[in-house]
Amino acid sequence: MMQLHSHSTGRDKATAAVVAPIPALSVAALTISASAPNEAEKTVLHDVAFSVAAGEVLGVLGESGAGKSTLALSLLRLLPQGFEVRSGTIHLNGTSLLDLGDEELRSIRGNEVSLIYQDSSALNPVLRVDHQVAEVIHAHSNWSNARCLQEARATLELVGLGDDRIFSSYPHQLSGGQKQRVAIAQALACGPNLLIADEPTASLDATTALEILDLIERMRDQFHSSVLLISHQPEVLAYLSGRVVVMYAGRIIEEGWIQEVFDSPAHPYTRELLRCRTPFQDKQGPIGSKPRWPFIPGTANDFTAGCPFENRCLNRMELCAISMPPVTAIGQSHHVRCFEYAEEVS
Amino acid sequence: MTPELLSRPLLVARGLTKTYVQGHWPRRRHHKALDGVNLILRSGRTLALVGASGSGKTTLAMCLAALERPDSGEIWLGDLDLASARKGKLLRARTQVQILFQDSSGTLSPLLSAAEIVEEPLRVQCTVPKQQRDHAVTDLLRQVGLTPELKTRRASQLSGGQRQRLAIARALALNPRLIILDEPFTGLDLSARGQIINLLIELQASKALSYLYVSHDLDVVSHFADEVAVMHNGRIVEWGQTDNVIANPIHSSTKVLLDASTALSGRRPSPRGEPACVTC
Repeated sequence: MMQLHSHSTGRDKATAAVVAPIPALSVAALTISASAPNEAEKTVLHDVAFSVAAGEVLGVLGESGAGKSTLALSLLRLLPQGFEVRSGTIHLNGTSLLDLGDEELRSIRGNEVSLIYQDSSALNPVLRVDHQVAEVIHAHSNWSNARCLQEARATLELVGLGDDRIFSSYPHQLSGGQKQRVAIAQALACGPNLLIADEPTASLDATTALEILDLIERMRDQFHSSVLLISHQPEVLAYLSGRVVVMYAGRIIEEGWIQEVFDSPAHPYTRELLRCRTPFQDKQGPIGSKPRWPFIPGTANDFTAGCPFENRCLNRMELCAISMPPVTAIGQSHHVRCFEYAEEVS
Repeated sequence: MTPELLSRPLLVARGLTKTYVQGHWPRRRHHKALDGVNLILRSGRTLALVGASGSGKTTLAMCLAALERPDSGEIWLGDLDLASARKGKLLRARTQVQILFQDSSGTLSPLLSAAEIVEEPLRVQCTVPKQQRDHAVTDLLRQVGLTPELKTRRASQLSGGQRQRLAIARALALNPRLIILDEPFTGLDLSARGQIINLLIELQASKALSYLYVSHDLDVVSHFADEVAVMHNGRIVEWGQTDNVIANPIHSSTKVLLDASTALSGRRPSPRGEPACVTC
């Protein structure tokens, strides 16, 4: 399994880095299956294990359908109907999230673990922004309405929306970046231990995306929360996270320091994916005057006993189609699930 | 085709303005989404329209696609002015300008099959006889790399990349000369993005299509577009060959966009001089 490491985090930010002896979040051997009527049961997460230390930002990279969002939802026990946890454990500061009852879960959601969704359609369209944030505080405290509203406005101020006009706006009156800030304020209102950001910048332009990422980082420093940052854009992860896990077809196939993984990707999938960032610089048959872009042909093989990337892999061996490669350590904290490296070790 | 033929103007827009009214009296506000935009789109070329959110990119795209009418100004497509043309003439002009929206899962009908989605424009415009439509649909799907087995699937049963291909097939159905691409790659992972970019470039080369590419992804813009126009507060503030604009940005808003893009790419933004504004 992927080793548990608690290290300092952030890009060259020694001051903000924190060494925590116990991981705030640790997930072990998590397997989740999904079944739909008239369809074969499908395992959407296989044996997923990772940990996040307090104050650390862990990036999750993967293509659509790799199980990133399922992972995020499982941490909040919000899996849609038909999804079932088959095995594994999720511990947040020593509490096992999978063993909690409904009542206890409700006190944790939005309080200790909160989620920033991809688009801001998660906001209530008929509530003014400040009331919307106050609602979260109200759900987790026994303060008066006035006090909750006051706290909500203070939180909005924290995320850079300290304006009376914005307090009394409805979500549709705000820009995409402002809505995302409100969603962040909502997520941070109770000072969570774990913040899950599922594609927080997907629909934003580069300038606004930068502001939102900076804001998440500042909030991380202030509340000392752990952050799970999910994205399919490597540059978004590189901007904020210290370590990264790469997911493919429901499995973690590579894990390590982001600099190491991005500079010398070990798994063939990670290598190919990162190659898709820029077009071919020469040859490769440009189309007219324009360069061709690299891509990975084919789709993930979800139902194989072997490596799910085998059918698209350029370095595949016969072994790859038959059995699942083990996790191999190729650096101090760099792990990969590929036979290419398993051989070298044995 | 000779380069001269390829670079003939296809669509010329002059002095476009569009004002949206927000709210009700007495708090009513007038927002100038377009403030005198001039634009030339050339045959077989790609013009990228970049700018921060709220700079008027989408409004301009909607006006050029004749889905919105500008308050004033002219949009000449051949000998027809889209800004003042009547409904009947517009209907015919619409075969020449197609639009590909950002999120195809939200714009393709959830009730129709893939084949019906592609067939719909052929039926509405009556460009292909009924008996040949099925054949035409198969041919269109093949052009965008979708197999005939997918014909009966609904849009929700396709992957993000396949859905975007389907939207391209629908846009191609009427043999347009211009396709407006409004952020066509958001939400696609890197591999799917590469495939769609290649497909669009190949289609452009084989059909001499023009693209208006609305985006804020400067990495793609720099390789995909021939020219770039930068929008700021409803105006085009900078316009030129892609390489020139990216290497030597002049307007302050172009610099802001470039800096944000490089910062996000993990590269250190290069130190640039004080913003020198040419038009405002």
